[in-house]
Amino acid sequence: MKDLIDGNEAAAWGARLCRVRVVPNFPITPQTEIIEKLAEWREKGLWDGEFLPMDSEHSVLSAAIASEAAGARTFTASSSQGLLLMTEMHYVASGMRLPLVMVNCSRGLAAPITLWPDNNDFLSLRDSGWLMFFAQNNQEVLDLVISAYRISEHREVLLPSIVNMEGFILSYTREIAEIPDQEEVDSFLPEYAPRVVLDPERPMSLGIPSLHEYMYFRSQVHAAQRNALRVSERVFAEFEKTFGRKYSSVEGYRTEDAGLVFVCAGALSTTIKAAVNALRKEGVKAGMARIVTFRPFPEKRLREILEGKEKIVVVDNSLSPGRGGIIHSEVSSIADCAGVVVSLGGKHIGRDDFVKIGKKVDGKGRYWYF
Amino acid sequence: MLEEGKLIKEEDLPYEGVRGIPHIREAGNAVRRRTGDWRIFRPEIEPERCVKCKMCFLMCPDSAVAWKDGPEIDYFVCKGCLICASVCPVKAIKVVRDEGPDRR
Repeated sequence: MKDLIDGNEAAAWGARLCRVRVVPNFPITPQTEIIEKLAEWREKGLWDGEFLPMDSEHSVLSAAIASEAAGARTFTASSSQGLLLMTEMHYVASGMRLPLVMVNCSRGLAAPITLWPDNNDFLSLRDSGWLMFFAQNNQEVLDLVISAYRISEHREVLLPSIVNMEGFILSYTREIAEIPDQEEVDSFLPEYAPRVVLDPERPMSLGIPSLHEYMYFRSQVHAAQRNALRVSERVFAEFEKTFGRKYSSVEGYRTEDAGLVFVCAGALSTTIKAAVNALRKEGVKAGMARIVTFRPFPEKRLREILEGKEKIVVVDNSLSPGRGGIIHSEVSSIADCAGVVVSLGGKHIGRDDFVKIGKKVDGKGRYWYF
Repeated sequence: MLEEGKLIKEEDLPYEGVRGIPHIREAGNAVRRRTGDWRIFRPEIEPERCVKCKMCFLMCPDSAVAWKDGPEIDYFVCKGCLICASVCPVKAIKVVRDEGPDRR
């Protein structure tokens, strides 16, 4: 069924279609509508999971960990300050190898206070062990939530996933999206069948203290992340077969003959695609590589796309102060590239701005665009 | 503030001392905050149709409609919510897409 939905509703649809059983939640702009939608569906009898309003985001993720450990497919969502308050528990979820899925509506971090989007909140989970996916539009929010459960729950992975959308730009903007049939999703995503489950009949301790073995268990999180790259390509291929929409860890857009390649992630990429087309009209052979899977980092695929390109410009709406754009520092480990920091706190940036950036930036410096 | 639409090299990013600390030193500063640049649509009063009922003046949530013999909209403040246009009983407030100088 096609419908005109915003990113938040797309996320809620993803959760509903995956038949999530528990949704611990706490409101925060610009994410609140996700849980409002699930609450509405529960009231109308359209979704019959447990809706658990909690007292803070830290409690939300604690409850999510508990319910997932008890064998229930669990979903939650947050944003910005809320995501940061959860962070202690993010590491617990990955360390316990619990394949829950959450959505983040990215929003700049205080101070100063903003409600508008940048990706610093999401990218703060870089080292948490979670699988991290960047959606570029509302359809992808829905599709990546469904794919994330498949990838996370795969026995060679067993790690939590987080799907990111830029707040407001996606969360509150309506687009036409295809909402798959329940039967289709059921055939793609089997019922959650965990192998390590908390059960009062057979008491067990999960997330044990471990001194000598600590490094071993963390190495297993890393090994699982590496598996996830392979598993996700398989899941994306199967997703295409079932639903007809194609995904990959990196999307290449007009890169084959390109001399100038933008590297980016998330909603900015749709604006950059328009800039690529505008630059091509002016005779500049531009292209774009969009990172969909940020963790695990798709090094091989990105290297293939960037191989031999004259000018690579990494666009970041995030900042590691004292270093620069966060994705820039990742990409600079595999290719010579320039970095441009843009749109922090949702500062407006349009197609023509990227055209200007594409023309003026050289292939190696660090830049800021205001 | 750094100029809009400006590309600068990282080494040219200026350090501006306490100016770079987000803080407000005095109260009552909202009068200096231009909220007119939030508008997408702009309400415009057509005085010849206005019956001076004061509905727009009363209903404006931001007191952006002043009363001087008749209604006058302060576009520095008006966020373009268009409540005035919707409550006007004689449709004397038209709505136009705003591309004026008050809106960045």
